[in-house]
Amino acid sequence: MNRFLQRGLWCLLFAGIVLGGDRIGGAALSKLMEGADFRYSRLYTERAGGKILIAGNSRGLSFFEPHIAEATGYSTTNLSYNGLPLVVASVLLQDHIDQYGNPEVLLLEVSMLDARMSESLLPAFTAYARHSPRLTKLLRDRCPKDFYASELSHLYRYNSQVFQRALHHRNRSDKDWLATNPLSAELQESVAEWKLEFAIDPEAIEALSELSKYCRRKGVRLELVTAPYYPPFVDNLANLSELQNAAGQAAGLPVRDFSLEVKGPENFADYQHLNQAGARKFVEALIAENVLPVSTE
Amino acid sequence: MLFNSLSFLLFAVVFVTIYFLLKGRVRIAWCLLGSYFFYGWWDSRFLLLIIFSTLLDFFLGKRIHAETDIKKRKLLLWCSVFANLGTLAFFKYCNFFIESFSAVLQQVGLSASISTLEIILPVGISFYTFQSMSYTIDIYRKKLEPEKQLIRFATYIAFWPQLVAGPIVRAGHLLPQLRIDQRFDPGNLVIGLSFILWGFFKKVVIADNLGLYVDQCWLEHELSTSLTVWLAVFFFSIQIYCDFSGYSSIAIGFAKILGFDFPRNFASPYFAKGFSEFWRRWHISLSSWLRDYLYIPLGGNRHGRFRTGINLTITMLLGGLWHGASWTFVAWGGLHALYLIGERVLSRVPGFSKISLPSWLVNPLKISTVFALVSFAWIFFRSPSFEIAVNLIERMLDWEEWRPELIRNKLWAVKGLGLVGILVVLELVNQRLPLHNLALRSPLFRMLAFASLLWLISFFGSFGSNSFIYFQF
Repeated sequence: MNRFLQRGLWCLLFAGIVLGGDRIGGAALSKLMEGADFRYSRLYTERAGGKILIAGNSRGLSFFEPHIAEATGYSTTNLSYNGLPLVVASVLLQDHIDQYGNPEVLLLEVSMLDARMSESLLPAFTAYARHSPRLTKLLRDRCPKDFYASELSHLYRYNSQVFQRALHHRNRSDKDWLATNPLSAELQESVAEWKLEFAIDPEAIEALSELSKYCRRKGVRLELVTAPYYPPFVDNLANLSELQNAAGQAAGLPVRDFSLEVKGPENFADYQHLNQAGARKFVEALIAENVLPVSTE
Repeated sequence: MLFNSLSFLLFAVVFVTIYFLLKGRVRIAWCLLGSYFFYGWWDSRFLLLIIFSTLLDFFLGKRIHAETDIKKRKLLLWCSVFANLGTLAFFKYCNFFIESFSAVLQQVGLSASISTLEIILPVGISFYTFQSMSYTIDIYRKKLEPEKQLIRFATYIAFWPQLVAGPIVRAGHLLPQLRIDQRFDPGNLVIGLSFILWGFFKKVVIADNLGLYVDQCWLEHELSTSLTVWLAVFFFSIQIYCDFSGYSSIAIGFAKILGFDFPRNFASPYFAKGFSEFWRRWHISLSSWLRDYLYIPLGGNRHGRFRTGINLTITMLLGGLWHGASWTFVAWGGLHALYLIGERVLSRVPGFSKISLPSWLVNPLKISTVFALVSFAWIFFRSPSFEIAVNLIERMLDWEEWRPELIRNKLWAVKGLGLVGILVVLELVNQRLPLHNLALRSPLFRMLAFASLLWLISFFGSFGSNSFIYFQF
């Protein structure tokens, strides 16, 4: 056989092996991910459907699902994730509502309007793109390189922390995903040294506005909330009220401010995050202020 | 231009294709043009520096060779050394000297407000300066004939595969290869691709993933718990190895495709059983450069133990300073000097070398000790200041926080450990059965190995266009 032809055939065979292996690997990983007891895997495999629907970044995790379900009597779905961008949250929430019907209330933690970190997590959702036309469109528009790379290589779809998190929750629930440790003495002492200024993201503002319109159209009750911060740290937040005003204006709703609601270092894992003990107090406050409904059944 | 970027991949395809369509001087001109384009992609202004270095050493090399008067030869050599080191000193060490001088004045009670200069550090300046200097020194030592064609010499200095982060290739090694019209060889393509894929695997799969954990730990060092810091230090040892050896591997691979043999720059350094051996395995092109052009001219080990210790210390301190203008790099070099001296002292302790233990026990012990002490030195290398380095060491020794549940970013930690596991297995296999040899012999193995590396890169790779650590040097 001609050497040139032989080399061409080897190249074709090689391309076949690479693509074939990629597709087989991708299919296996997809199965693994879909079977996981992880929030987005449940969302897209008909295993979600909470009557209380929540979204936020890492601070959104302090809407602790087991406490809320216990205190309100309603099933709860928390779609929060560390650094979750509001544009993605909006898509996930709309997918949830379309698939499972209207919840009693939709809670949104407003620090999601902060632009820091948001872009880096966006491509991680290529793992779930094939389940959602909305997500597909968002990824194609916002991170085309990653989107098309994930079309070319199916293994690449699962090259993300979201997939790894799903794998971590393969056989264990993610509903207890909240720290238990109290604020360390060292952090208590050094609180004055830590400052935070929100970088309000115009695209997040737009996404919130769209989400608010969608909720009105669907008749879903949307509540904007500021979850508690460690009280001595609140003075170090340069522009919390600016953030709240921006959120309120975008959604045409008031922001329910619980930033000073929980006190004491025993209730916080760090300055911005409640631990499980603090989360329980936060839920009590949300119920007392009628932000969370209580089932009469 | 970063090796791990789309623009570079396009550049490489176009460059290699046209390279093999050309011959003779036109091909060399293409190499030079490509190399200047590659460098100028970052900042074209600094091409002038490379051109200055090139012209200076090309003409000085000729003059040194032609000169018969020993004193004049020496004077010409010093001109080359001063001009090269002067340029390096200005761009790399100017602010460091100003700040250090200012600090010394403050220590003796003199208030000094000397302002620093806003100087951009040209990428790869330490590499091409050393490469250029070795040329004139070798001519002075009559080990090398000067290159007749400026264009070839300029290509030697700026050759893109190794321009910004080595390996530092000596003129005696590369210039003769540049005189031959290398033909396209499918065997070279296979070997080159195996080096490139292996290099990319080390860089984007191992180094960049571990870097996420390491960067976070150093950035938030005040919040990092004991075990977190231990893990981060361990990860950084692996990260810097994979980052740098990955770059070297990619450089060697591209050079191989073009028909050039570059020297090996790393030889599984973390399997070294002693510090001298470590330096024969780590960044070989720099350590051998320092040995040949600094340590041996200082006297090497020829003037007794004390002088040997002094020579080692000077070499390692300057080696540390070569990496960056900071006292933390000097401390890193100083620690390695201490290790090397300590090793020599221990080997002469009566009875110490006679302790006979089975090799299955001694070798892992030696390897672990070397790795642990090298990793300890990396803390200073990685830290932007002594305060941060000391803070991290203090945190490592805080035994009350020695609890796995306090490890931060557990998901990254678990992923990092898994990736290190994969690396160790592949390194061990690659050590005994080199990938490029097997790839050359068996087409089936080649396809499976290349496909597996591509799958691993696709599934685990970090594609944030992270720069190579050694670019800053």
